[in-house]
Amino acid sequence: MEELHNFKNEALALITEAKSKQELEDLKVKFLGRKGEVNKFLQNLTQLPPEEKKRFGQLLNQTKQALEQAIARKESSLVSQQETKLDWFDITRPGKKPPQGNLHLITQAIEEISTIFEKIGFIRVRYPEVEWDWYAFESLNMPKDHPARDEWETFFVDTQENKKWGKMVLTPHTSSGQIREMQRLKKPPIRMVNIAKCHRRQHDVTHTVMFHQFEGLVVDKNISIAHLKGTTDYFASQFYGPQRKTRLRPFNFKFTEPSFEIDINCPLCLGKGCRTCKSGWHELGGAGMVHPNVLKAVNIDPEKYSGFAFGWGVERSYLMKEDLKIDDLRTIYSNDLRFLKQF
Amino acid sequence: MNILISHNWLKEYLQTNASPEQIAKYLSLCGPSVERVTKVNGDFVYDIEITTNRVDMMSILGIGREARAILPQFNIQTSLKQPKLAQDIKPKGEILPIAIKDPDHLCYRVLGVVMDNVKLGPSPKLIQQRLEKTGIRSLNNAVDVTNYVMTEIGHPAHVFDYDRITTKKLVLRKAKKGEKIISLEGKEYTLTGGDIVIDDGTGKIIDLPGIIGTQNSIVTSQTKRVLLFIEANNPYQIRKSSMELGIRTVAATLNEKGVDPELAKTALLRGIQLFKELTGSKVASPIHDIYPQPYKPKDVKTSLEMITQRLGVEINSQRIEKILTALGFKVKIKTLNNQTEFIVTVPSLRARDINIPEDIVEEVARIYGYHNLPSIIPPLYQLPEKPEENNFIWEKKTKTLLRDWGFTETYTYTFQSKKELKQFKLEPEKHLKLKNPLTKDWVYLRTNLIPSLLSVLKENRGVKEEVKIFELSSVFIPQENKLPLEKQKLVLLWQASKFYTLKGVCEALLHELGIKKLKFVNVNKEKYFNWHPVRTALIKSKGKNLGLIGLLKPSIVQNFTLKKPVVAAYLNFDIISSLANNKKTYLPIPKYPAVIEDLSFLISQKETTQKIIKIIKNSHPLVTKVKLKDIYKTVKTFEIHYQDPDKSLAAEEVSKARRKIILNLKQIDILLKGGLEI
Repeated sequence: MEELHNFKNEALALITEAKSKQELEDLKVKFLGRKGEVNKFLQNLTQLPPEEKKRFGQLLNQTKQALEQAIARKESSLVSQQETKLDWFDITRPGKKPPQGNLHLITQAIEEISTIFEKIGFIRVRYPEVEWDWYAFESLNMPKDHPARDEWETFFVDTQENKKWGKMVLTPHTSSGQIREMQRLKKPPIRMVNIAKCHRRQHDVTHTVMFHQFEGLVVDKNISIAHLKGTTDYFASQFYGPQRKTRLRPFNFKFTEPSFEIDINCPLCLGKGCRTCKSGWHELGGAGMVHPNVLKAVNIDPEKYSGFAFGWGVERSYLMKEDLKIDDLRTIYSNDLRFLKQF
Repeated sequence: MNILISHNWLKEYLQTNASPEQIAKYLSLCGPSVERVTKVNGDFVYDIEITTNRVDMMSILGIGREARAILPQFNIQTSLKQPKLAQDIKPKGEILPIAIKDPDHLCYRVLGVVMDNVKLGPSPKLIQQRLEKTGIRSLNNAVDVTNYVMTEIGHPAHVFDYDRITTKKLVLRKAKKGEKIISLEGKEYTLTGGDIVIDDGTGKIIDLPGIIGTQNSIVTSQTKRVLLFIEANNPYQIRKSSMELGIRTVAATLNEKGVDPELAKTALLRGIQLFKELTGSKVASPIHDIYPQPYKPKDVKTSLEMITQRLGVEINSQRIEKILTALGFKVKIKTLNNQTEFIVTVPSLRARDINIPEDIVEEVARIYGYHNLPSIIPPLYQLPEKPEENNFIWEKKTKTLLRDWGFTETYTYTFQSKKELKQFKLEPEKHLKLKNPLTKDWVYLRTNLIPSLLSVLKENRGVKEEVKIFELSSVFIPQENKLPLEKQKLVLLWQASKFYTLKGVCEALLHELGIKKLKFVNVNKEKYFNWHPVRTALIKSKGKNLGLIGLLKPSIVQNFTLKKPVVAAYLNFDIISSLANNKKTYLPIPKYPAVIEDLSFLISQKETTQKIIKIIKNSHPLVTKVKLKDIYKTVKTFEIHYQDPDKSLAAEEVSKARRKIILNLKQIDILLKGGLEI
């Protein structure tokens, strides 16, 4: 009995003086563990006479509870002590960052553009970079002597001409994708965005020999110019911002009739005119209603169906959006890590 | 093509109160694009871009016609006066002879008239200034008339010194290859054959019509009599000759677009008028006019239904008729059964570009104003079928993961130089090449991405940190009689000797794409001669070849002047995409704990980890998981999990399994370290 009493007091004292969680944990095992002190007392219990057994048992139980409570209290007091540990701590030291690579600007641009169109039901596709003349020009209603078809502007592959499809070229525009998609689906509804590499024989401050375009095509019953406007306005507001919208001006392409040049309003003056933009509008790219000859080339009846198409430069559109002052377009494809690692 | 139009000159014919700003703004919205308006000495000059199909706008009167149709749409009253033309009557007095022949019908129309009593001198100041504002140099009154007429009316014109045409004969014929001419600028050109030339009947060429005059027949300071000459040319031949000879005069750029032959007569009559006013000359011959096929007006039919459907807005017939009439079309409206049909007669000026109903739609729509049309997202009733190969989700996932694991993405050009190919020991003959490359370095269409990325490493030699780059692009494998096979390849390059780390990246990437069961196989060193023969593996899954991972051969890397080793992964992304999936599987969480232990083995023989793990796993059904935990010299430690889904394992059951493992490995001379008693 007295032994138990002394044990309890010693144990409580040790618990109160414990300095760390580990020490407390060790004490817990020592006193309350399977082979601990309390259990040793429990074994002695069986050797006592009946009346003393009851009293001893109760006392032992009380002791056990007292120790458990003391341990619990000490545990929480240690925790709160830790919280108010007041040694000086440098919060400004750089953190250990996880690995950070980079996605190319073009990848980011393409991702953004394709998501915008996918939200209104456009299907993303991609078609060959090396194409037949027929897909790149002939089927798009471009006459044989059109400047784009001569050797100053388009890259021709040094290989035999195909009797049916003509010469092999590097497609200078994603418009060849219009033909490929219409052949794939065979009939409307057609609603695609083709984002792919193009190549043209020009490399200077505003042109790179390899670049990307995104081409939209919608063909169905009763498609009108109003639908083209709706689509370009939607793109402008999603890509450039809520107050941005487009306007159509007359132009001329062989594969569309009517044809348009699409402008976007200046971000600063929203179309009124200012020192930066002068006219209030910036050129975005070309568009038009699909020419009936193009539909005929893929066996779609132009009397039943109509469509619109637009084809714009990914680089140009994206640089305008981010107001990235990259003066020389060739920088985009420079692959200098000091450039790539900025994005 | 661009033209500079003087506002004051335009206002001589265009009667309107519109300001230059308004004219510029409204023209651009509904017609030709006015790129700039410049103030010049009490006048304004419009710099206008005109599309190649509207050569009828390339003149003062051409712009005037557009403005006449467009400005009233913005409630600005406008009318267009006609220029003063000479009368087409036979002259009184002496007739000077001239014979003009076009036996092979090389031109659509040929016009000529002789003017006598020409007092050559400078043009009046107004004429000089107007020409200069247009960007044309004023020379003398005779030559100035031709340029003035071209700018005002829109048809190029030429003037010969009548007396220098000794034979008084002009015959249009095709040039033979090798014939030479000396242009009015004094330059000699050798014709390639087929060019349309004027012969004076003796075989001598005295003009390259539609392109440039020749030194032997042009007006000089001695000229007293002229032949005013206008021909309507074959646009294809003009372009061909002009491009081949490199002579790009204003006349050539107009003629190659096909100027209206009817306009040629107007230009001639205007020319005669101006000649009389400016040089004091008089008409000395009848007007010679060779016009074998005069313009026959053509009709284009369309309907109200089509126009309203294409515009997306309700528009009434009267409005349509008004617009078309203002543009110079004649309109007949026919109504039958609630359908309104328009029969539109096309003037000669628009004969080349108005042919189908859609062309009429454009005319109506642009004058009505695209800015007046509503903006409607096309309704979606049915989604088209997606293409079979829809790799975009896997591409996005792959690129994002690589970015998060510290790789930088590159976009290298499609072309490789012969040097790059040779540095990577590839055969140029096995590549497609360009017929008309832009530079000597960008010639071959690549069949392998690695040389391009090695060049990137070379470009970034100064960088201190380890360079980790990747690219996902197409390569082009030539195919006989077909377009090249475009294969998508994913390449990772790491400038360090980190084979296992890069292997880990590949394993993790493929795992995230749902491709979990991988096999690594030794490579055929003849086939993959650019890779280290031993430190390279072929990655396979479900029998398919996913690509390579390994150390690039140091000698190859050195060819690119790189000193540090390079490990690379070169993966077939098409195949990976075809196997990629988002399949989820669920294994119920075991109710009973696994027994986990480490066993260390002495691997004295050259056995692959892949093989050892397979043996351990297959030793006993209770073995559910085996992982290589540690390597120290020849000792490999494996963490082995024993599990029974239905109960907690007793020590003897685990021992049984363990003994099987040790036995199986002993059979291939792999001994348990520490020699446990079996």
